[in-house]
Amino acid sequence: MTISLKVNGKPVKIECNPGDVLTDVLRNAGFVEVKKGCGTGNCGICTVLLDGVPVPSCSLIAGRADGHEITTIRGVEAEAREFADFLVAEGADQCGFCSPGFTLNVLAMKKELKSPSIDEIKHYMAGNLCRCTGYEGQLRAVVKYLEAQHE
Amino acid sequence: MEIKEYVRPASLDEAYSFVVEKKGFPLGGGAWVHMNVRSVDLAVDLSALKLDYIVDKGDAVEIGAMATARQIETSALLNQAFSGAFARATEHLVGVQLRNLITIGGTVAGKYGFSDLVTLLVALDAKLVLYRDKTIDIASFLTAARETPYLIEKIIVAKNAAAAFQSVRVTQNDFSILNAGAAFHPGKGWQIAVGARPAAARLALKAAQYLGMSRKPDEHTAKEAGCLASEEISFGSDVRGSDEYRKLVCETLVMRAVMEAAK
Amino acid sequence: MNNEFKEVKHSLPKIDGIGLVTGRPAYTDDLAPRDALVVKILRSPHAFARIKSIDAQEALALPGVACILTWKDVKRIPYTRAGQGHPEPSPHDKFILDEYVRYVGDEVAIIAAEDEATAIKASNLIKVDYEVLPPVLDFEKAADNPTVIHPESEIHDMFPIGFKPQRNIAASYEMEIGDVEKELAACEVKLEKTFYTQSQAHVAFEPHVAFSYIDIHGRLNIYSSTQNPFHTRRLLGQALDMPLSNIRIAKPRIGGGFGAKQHILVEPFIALVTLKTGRPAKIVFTRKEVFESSFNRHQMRITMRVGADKEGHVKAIDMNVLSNTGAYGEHALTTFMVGGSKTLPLYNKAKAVRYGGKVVYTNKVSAGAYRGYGAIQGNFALESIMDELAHTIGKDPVAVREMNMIREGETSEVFKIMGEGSEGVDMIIESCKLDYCIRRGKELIGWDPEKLAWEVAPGVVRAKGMAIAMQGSGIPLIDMGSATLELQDGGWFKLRIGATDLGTGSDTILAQIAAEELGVPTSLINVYASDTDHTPYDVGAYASSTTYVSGNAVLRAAKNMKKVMLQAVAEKFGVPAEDVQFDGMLFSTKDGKKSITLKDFSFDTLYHEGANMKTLTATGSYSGLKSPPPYMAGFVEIELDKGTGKVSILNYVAVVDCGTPINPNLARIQVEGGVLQGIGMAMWENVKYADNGRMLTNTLLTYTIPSREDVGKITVELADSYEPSGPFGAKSVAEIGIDTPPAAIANAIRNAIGVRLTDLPFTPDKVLLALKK
Repeated sequence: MTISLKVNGKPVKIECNPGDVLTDVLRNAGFVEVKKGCGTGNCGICTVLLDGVPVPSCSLIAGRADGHEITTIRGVEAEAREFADFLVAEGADQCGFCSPGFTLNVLAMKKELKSPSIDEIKHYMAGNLCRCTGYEGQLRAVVKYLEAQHE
Repeated sequence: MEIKEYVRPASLDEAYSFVVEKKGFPLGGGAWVHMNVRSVDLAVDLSALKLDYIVDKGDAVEIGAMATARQIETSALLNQAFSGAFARATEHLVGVQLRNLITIGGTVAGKYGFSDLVTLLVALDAKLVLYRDKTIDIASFLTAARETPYLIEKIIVAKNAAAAFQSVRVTQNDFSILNAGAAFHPGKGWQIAVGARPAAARLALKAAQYLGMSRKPDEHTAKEAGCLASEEISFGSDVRGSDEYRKLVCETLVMRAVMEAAK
Repeated sequence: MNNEFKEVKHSLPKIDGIGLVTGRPAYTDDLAPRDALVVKILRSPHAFARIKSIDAQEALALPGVACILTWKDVKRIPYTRAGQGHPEPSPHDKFILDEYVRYVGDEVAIIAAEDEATAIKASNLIKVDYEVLPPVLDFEKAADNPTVIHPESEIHDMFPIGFKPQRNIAASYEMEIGDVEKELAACEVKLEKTFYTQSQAHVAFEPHVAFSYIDIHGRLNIYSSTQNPFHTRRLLGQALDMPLSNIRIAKPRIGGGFGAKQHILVEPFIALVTLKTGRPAKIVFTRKEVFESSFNRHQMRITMRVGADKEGHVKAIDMNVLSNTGAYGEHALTTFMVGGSKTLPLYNKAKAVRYGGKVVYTNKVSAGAYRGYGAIQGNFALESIMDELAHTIGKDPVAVREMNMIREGETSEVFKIMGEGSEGVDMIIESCKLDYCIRRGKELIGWDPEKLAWEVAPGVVRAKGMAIAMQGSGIPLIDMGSATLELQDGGWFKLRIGATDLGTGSDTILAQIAAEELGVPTSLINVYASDTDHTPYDVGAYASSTTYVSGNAVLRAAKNMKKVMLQAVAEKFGVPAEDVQFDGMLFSTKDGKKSITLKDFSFDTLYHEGANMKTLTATGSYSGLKSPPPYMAGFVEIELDKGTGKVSILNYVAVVDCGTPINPNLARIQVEGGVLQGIGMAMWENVKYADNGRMLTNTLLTYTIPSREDVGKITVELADSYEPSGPFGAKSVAEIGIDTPPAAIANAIRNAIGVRLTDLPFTPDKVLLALKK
């Protein structure tokens, strides 16, 4: 099947089996910024935006993406760079493998929640697992980032 | 998952013809099936049917089969009508990203043992509307062996029930080791459901019968209901816990669900 | 803490941070050649079996299959996959492919094809005839079991480690200081308890991955997600019988290690394919393969006996350990020894100490290196029984630690006796702020010995617990690191290091050390690391060695570089070297008459000096004379629901003495991450098997690691400390964070419900069933 979709605003046609998971399809098409961490939807590392909504690309079959818009971390460069500064300022980038998926979900959270509490931030981001940081540094970065948005 | 043919019907009738007449495989979010199913001849993507609604129908809420777990979790309508029980029964499911994919229809059709939502729906005596077929209560749906294919259109939940959901799990976004739903239906009485046994939810009929028409049982009564439930429900062992533990904790969860619903 | 340093002890951002977060291609699979053959492994469905025959004809006939290799196609050379220095303390008990398969998931055949789907299809077409053998799955029944897991004649140890494969023993060890039985007999208070620690999975989010190709010189090049490029080169050369000069191992950015990648694992498979076909080859493990077919933590049974007087002075400690190394013996002896060598010195005033036991083979996934490396298991047992001692004599657990624990200026006989598989190195502790760590930890958690448990609601109890820990900083006289600095035109420096950044930020902190010593900003240091072709030797990232060992190497290189530059400037000025000084930007004679900027000078050396032009470079190497321990006090507050057995971690306080933190943010995050990984082991994580040896917990659906909603808060503070032998006073911080949670939480649970849990993890079922008994 040839799926036709938009990736980061650009039209893309990809030949694949509609049952292939989108992480593999995107990586094979050159979008290596999308990572695979677990393959079961648990870790959030493969997060992409499907029509602006965060989903785990390892649990989305390619057929579902046909005709839709996918955004990876490279598609939100300016916003990602702004958040990255906060994350890196805490040292919470660490191995970086979970960082792009984490950043995309932070940007989605910023759109969906107004002035979230610490518990609400933790809950929204709970599907983004990290083994390096212990989560505290990531939380510090998110809180400071959200505070800066209000200024 | 290998898919030979992939279709995305634009109408319920078209979907019906693919799923029921041509015996196609209906896809909700696809989140679980892509791991569990090797190969499918005809995959029917239901995402263009506009079945992702949650609407107030006065005495009931109608939830379209393609409404996502995240929509259900954050629905002001559902959470107000059921005191947050729907949020309790969805908020632990892995993460926001996966909940944006998982659909209520896919979850119910899968009869998944781990599902918190199914347990709550059983306690609420939810009704499944099968398109151009019958309407069936979810408890019967779970136990019936179904030979002919069907297409779930929507789930109907009567609003007047007072409900609560309880669960215990290892980590916060793991599946439940055990879960319980309790709901008092005015005029009908209590419905107690216990799920993640690890098998799918079943009604604790004796426990419900014991509570009778008492809308606000005291703690002692609720505890006794919990005991009865733990004796009548069957439990198994798996990676998350033993049957012995499930039986013990069933008492606590049912008691707490009843006390919470009674508030 | 006032900061007298310009670069060190500042929280500079990691030099790779922005690139990683914004998704630039950086990891091994991002860089793999597009035309690389995809390599898959056919794996054993049996826990123990002998391969009678393999028929790959049908698979080979499939279009797109490039090659299939079985044990008959590979030269039979025993080696170890343990990333350790030579001679390795681990037995050479592994063949790349063998006639026997020793666990469900063990390698049977290597398949290479044009794409993944074809490789998988081909592997399903291979017909294997197995002679299924009875497996050994219970580590307590492994020693002297009729089933011998390693009957091969060619396997051997590199030096005596108690290797007795005919008895399923991979290693054994015993040491005694004083007379333990005599001391114990005389003690007023005697305690004995047996503890069980489970196998834990690393779950580094990037799976094991590597690719290989032959370069223009005909040499094998491998890019791998590895913690030890140089050990990998040596071990691969040995396993393939290839000269090391023909092999290159390069590590790009990697997505976490934690010890998972302190091994050689996938490199031989792709190497064999590339050597046979001449084509690039790559392998990317699935998450299932990482769980089932890489490595995990050694499961242990630890029997503790402690004797004290009725005031609580510890007189005797006896630790007897049984460790499960799984199907192969990587890191068997050394993790076993660290269980004692990095715990017992905490109680250096005991008159008699004994540590001993054995490491056994089982037909399960091979256990290997994992952060903590035996210390977390040993700490659980030791710090649990110390709390039990406190309960027995009715004293504050903190007071019992303070009465007995090691202090600055002291030593322990254990240091000299227990090393890395053999004898260790004597050491006086020149920095130990455990006393401060405890005092400060008490403040932060609100420690009141009169109120260590209290009810907050009917059936819901809150409680506090604590534990202390130590680790090491590299392995003395065995771990070595080197660094080379080179001045470039423009007045900046190349820093070439073998040291291996796992995402920890070692590239950054080593640049900070170089910059501090040279007197220049860190931004003038470019780091090139972890490539056996282009960087000098380093053991790699393990044993908490990078800051201390590689850092001291960088410090030496920088000192040498300063000397080299001053000498060259002196020659240029025609003055003795002692007359020249450098302030980080300007070289000048002490009388101020002559000067030149670093920038101008760098151009001169390369372009303008005629016959005197030269590259200014300096190298430093370091191997430690000791391994100064970082220390930590951990305090936890829990909430325990007696109705469900669920324990919630409300607050974890960690006060750490790591010497000078080269980068305080990065040091703090190492502890925060380590603490959470330790809490995971204490509370939720468990590698489980079915009765036939198949792994049940082989996805993240069934193996549960902590999410950010599982802990209320982790608070980390670093003590003001300075280790004279470390670079700018630094020790290490990579592992210390992981050690205390199991004991601290067990102690809190004991305070909450009066029951001591001795078997990890403390999942709700265990707690509830213990309560009911």
